Amino acid sequence: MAGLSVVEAEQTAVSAGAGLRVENVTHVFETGAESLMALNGVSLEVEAETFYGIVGPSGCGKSSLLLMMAGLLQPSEGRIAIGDETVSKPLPEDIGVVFQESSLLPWKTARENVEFPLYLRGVDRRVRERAALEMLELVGLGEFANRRPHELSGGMKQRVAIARGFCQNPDILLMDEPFAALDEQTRMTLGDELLHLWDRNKKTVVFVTHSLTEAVYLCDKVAVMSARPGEILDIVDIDLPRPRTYDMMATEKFGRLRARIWELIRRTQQK
Amino acid sequence: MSAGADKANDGRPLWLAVVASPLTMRLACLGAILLFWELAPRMEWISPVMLSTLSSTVMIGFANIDVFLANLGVTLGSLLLALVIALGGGAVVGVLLGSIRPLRNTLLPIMSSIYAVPLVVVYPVFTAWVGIGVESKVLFGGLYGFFPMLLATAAGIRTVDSRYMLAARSMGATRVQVILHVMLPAALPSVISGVRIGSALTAIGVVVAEMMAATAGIGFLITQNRTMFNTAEVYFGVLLVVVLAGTIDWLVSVFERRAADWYPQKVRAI
Ligand SMILES: Nc1ncnc2c1ncn2[C@@H]1O[C@H](COP(=O)(O)OP(=O)(O)O)[C@@H](O)[C@H]1O
Ligand SMILES: [Mg+2]
Repeated sequence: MAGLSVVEAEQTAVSAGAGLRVENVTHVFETGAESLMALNGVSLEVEAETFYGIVGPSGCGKSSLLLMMAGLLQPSEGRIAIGDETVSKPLPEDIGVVFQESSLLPWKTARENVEFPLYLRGVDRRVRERAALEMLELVGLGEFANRRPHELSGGMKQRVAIARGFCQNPDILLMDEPFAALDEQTRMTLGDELLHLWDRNKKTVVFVTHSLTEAVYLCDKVAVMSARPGEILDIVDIDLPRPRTYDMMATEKFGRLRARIWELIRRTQQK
Repeated sequence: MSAGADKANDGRPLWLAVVASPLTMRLACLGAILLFWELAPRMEWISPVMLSTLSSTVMIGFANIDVFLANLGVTLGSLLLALVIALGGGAVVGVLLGSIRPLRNTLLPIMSSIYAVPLVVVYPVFTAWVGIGVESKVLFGGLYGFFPMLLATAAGIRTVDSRYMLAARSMGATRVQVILHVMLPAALPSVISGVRIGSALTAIGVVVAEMMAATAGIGFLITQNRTMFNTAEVYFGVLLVVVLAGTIDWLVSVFERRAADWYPQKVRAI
């Protein structure tokens, strides 16, 4: 990927191949008179270049946790760290985010959206245009480079968002239910494409999803969270070989892992 | 006509598609209004003192075209200055009030209350302060359009989808970059509707100010002829104001089509 290597040359990331540590993070939202505890004493060790899943009932604080990992929200207690550095503000060269629904800027074309993170850090125009076009080619949208988001389908928009994340080229990519709004066939295809991209350009990925199949299929580890206030119930190792293939879904091991996660979630939902 | 051409539009016959097209309908409505304008005074459905016929209005107008154009020029000059105050001032103050929370919470409600007041009632006070020259109608027209522009801009800034800002910040956008590349473009559709309402109200403000107290301009000309019962001249003046308002609206839509083509037009409020 020539485009990415050009961008990499311009980059001076704090740490190469970084992992992410969540240390005893508690978060309380203060809204007027009320206060709401979203997370309670969450600790995670996300090793470099792992595909790390987070699942848990809706409202348990997954998105809030991701915002804190991105430096967009300060934890009430505890800290998030890359190596020795505490994440207290966005670090675009270390951490990127792909949001739940498309957060593409509607007035920009697909290419302009993908090159936006490079534009923001002052990368030369021709370099960033080439990098963006190459990224779009990789997600199969080369022909759609000059279309605006409203001219693209849901799946295409999420492809562009992922291309933007990879074009920003951080060590750590946080993804908050990136495929939630898509139909099952599209989300399975995009899951495969994401694994493919990740394989060619290894990053630490933190992937929030509510699909257990998706979690098992994509991830190396899956942290299962309790209902609000979110706590870590268990971390399930997904020791399936890579590259992952569809026939693995039919194996007994896949089923056992999925059932294990479901059992944890079922119990916390009954609570 | 072949059968194929007959069924050009959704299987409807071609003649029906043409007759029922929005453009045809619009032209037909306009034609009906003009026809009524000509016939009503002529047939004495309406007294010719109240309404002059279309033909006599246009003829009188062109007979005195130099007077009308000179006064139209005066109005246009005042209008341009007033638009700078209304649109420029409204945009700047709107961005400030929309993006700075303490200002927004304290001043924005006051601004919408002022917008609800019919400002015409304070015009006499206004002229006492600044006289009846060009300044007063420029200021008055500017003030008239300032509030809707301010409110639309502030609303546009305030309702920017927070996901866009989070995404931009996570990609490393500075505060200034967020304003330039996210807030302003996202607010553009709302700002344009502010331009649309704001410029229409500014034009009203200027003409009304001219009608109430001025020494030149289309509004002045209308009032002056009105007191002398020159009905045709009055209506020619009105016609010019209508053309002026239509031109402004057309310019805004041209600007809108170019500047905010990413914005689904169907959702447009006004
Ligand atoms: N900005 C906020 N202010 C107040 N409460 C919030 C805010 N963001 C999220 N919450 C609340 O915190 C809890 C966790 O939200 P979230 O992190 O979005 O959960 P999840 O992504 O797991 O569904 C929810 O109860 C939600 O209502
Ligand atoms: Mg969420």
